Amino acid sequence: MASYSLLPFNFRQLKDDSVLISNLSNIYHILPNQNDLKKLINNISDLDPESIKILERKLFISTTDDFEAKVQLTTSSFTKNIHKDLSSPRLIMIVPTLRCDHHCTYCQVSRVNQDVDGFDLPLSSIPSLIDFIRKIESPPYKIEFQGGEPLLAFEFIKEFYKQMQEAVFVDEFSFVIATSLSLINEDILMWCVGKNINFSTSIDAGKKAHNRHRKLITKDSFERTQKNIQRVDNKLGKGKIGTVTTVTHDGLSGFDELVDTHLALGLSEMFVRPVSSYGFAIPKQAKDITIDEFMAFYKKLIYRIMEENKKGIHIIEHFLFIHFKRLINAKDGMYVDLMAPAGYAKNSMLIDYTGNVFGSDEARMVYRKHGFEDLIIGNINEKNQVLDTTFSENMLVNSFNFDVPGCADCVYQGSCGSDPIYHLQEFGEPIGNKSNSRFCQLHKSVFDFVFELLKDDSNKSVMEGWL
Amino acid sequence: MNSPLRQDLFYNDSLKDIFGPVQILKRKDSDLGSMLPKIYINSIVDCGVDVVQFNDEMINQWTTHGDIGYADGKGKIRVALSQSANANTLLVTERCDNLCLFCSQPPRNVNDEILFAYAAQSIIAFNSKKVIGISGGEPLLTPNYIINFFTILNQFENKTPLHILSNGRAFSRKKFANDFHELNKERFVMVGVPLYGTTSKVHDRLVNSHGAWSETIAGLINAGNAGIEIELRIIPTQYNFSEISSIIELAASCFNHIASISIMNLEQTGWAKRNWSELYVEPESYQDELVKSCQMSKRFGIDISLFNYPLCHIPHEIHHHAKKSISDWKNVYTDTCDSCILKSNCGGFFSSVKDKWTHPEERIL
Repeated sequence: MASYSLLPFNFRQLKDDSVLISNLSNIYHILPNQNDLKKLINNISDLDPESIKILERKLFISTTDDFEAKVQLTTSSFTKNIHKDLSSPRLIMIVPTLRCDHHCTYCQVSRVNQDVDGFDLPLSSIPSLIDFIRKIESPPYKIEFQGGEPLLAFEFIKEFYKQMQEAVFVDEFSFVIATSLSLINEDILMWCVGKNINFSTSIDAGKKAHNRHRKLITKDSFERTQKNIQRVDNKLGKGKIGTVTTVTHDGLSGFDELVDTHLALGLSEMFVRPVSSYGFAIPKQAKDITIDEFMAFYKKLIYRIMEENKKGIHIIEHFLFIHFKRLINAKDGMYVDLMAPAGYAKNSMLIDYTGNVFGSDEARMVYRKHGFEDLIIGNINEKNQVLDTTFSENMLVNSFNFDVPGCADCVYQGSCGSDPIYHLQEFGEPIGNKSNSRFCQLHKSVFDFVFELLKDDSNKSVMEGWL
Repeated sequence: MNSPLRQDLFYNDSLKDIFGPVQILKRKDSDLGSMLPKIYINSIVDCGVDVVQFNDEMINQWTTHGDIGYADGKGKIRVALSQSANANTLLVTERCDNLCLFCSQPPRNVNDEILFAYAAQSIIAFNSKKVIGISGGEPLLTPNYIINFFTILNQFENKTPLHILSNGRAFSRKKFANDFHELNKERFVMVGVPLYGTTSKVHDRLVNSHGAWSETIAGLINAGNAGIEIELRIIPTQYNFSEISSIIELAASCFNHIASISIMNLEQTGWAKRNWSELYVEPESYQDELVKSCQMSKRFGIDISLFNYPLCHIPHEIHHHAKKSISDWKNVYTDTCDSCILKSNCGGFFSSVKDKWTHPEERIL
């Protein structure tokens, strides 16, 4: 019998005594028990022949003859995965105004009231904004308007579109407007017809939680959002709206209501994540919900979604889906929060209402809260728009999770990412202590949950059907 | 069995003493700057004294003006490149460093460098915008030949897209992979590389050459990194049918520029005939593996196609992966196929199957 050698791998004990292993090719395998793990490490030939065959095919072990080629295959896939994360496109975010009609409890940027002066990006800055975008990114340009409430700066968006259209081909850019939709009106809708413009809006878990946290003076944010989603659908057709759900303590029992709301509105996609602890959301909310609490909610939500899909109703939850895609080396598994090196600056760039440039939305939140000047990469209004990337590069260097304590030996290393800005905020430096990291706990929990789901073939079919 | 859909071999006394590639013409054509000898197969128009001109209804029927034929000097001519063919392929060498147990074109160790010259002349004269296949033997066996071949095509500013069938071993030399890519910046080139296993044990046995797998693996890594587009080919046999999906997972995870993956049912020709009982495995017995393999298409964003699988032998859910693929000169349908409603979408059978039935016919779909 051929003798086998081990290739490097990481492992993690799953709840049911089985052991998950992974390698640098980001290929996963489940060993039935700890005993098999010991055999794998101590004496491979003690494993049953079928396991040996599979482990050999998945680049965990190799015969002496093939060892060199297997190492080459491993390094090749490792670099391929890094290259995917390095070469994916960059999202450009623009904050045309910090003014907002809502004042959400978990607002991360400390928005300002609607009628305040001095929190808008002036129309006169559009030419330099477009110059800047064309300088840092190549088409197609993906542009997202953030706020505040971007629809309060609709004139800016309109004018920006017009000048963008003059600068580049019309099919070379697309817009997403992140909005509560509360201010949408006939003029705005008319203007959007026939344009490559989508909306990202918030629906929280249940009417109660939504209205309590997404505050309007009229206390009817939830009802307005629903009504306005239908308005957009009627005018612009289905598929123009993506939803984001922020889970707070008040929403923990709203999993069924959340799904029902989406189904009633004919929305087949959702994106659900816990309230984040950036910027101004920290004191009010972060400790409001633990990751364990979130996961308890999230599992119920996902089981409901699985059930719907098995009944033939197509509904995708993207937070889960992106974790699944990262685990199977799927082609479009690029997600700015799950990249190593991080997506910060490399795959996202934000220009705020002062013209300041940040490497991510989170960076401007942390800046606004702590005034940490290093986070400003440049300003579009400055002559030559020179960027100072020293700080950003340092962030990125420290976001390569392959050699970072707490990540290097994690079974999910090849699928997970890192978030230097979060760790900077929490720990004062970009790596942080992963055993106390909310980022780490959240993503690990979701990856664990994916494997829990995959034990059932019918769940696997649902997720594969989303591909 | 019926005869193939297109005939490609002809005989005419007037072709005696003509040897090598010729261009078949049906009318005077001053636009052709081709350096090949020309034969006119229509004697109505007088084309001059220095040309070969004769009437041949058969050749006329099966060719198009400007087609390329290879003449054997004894009156036989085989149409090598035809505008009316569904696929055109040129053989550039009969030598090979693999000796695949199922080789459809068993290699011969002969001096046949001249075939590269024929191929270059023919491609330049034919000047097609449609893909031409380059096969062997192993076309990349002598790196200099293929490098010269591209250089000549480039000198004539020929841009014909090429599909080259290679075992990929030559690319294990990184410089060759990079040079190869560099010479084809202006031309679409796809290289079809077979990978039969995730280990040397399986692959080397099937290609009957020790060390082949490691070189092919290194070659696929280098070629992909250089930017060469790869069509990965897998032929299920008794030795590897259970690891088809593992080969795909390995390839999609480790190699760059895998443009498509082809799973090809064994063709009963060449050496496959004598090794048939050792190699062939009925599609019905690895259906699940085929389904699993095809499902990886969406995951990796790579087209996965099934070739030479009559639809009646694979599950309905993967019918859309099956290609109507067999070159028309060797494609046949059985008499029972005539009553099948899927015939127009089905690849049918190889003419080489003849009366040796591989396995019983299934119900008519």
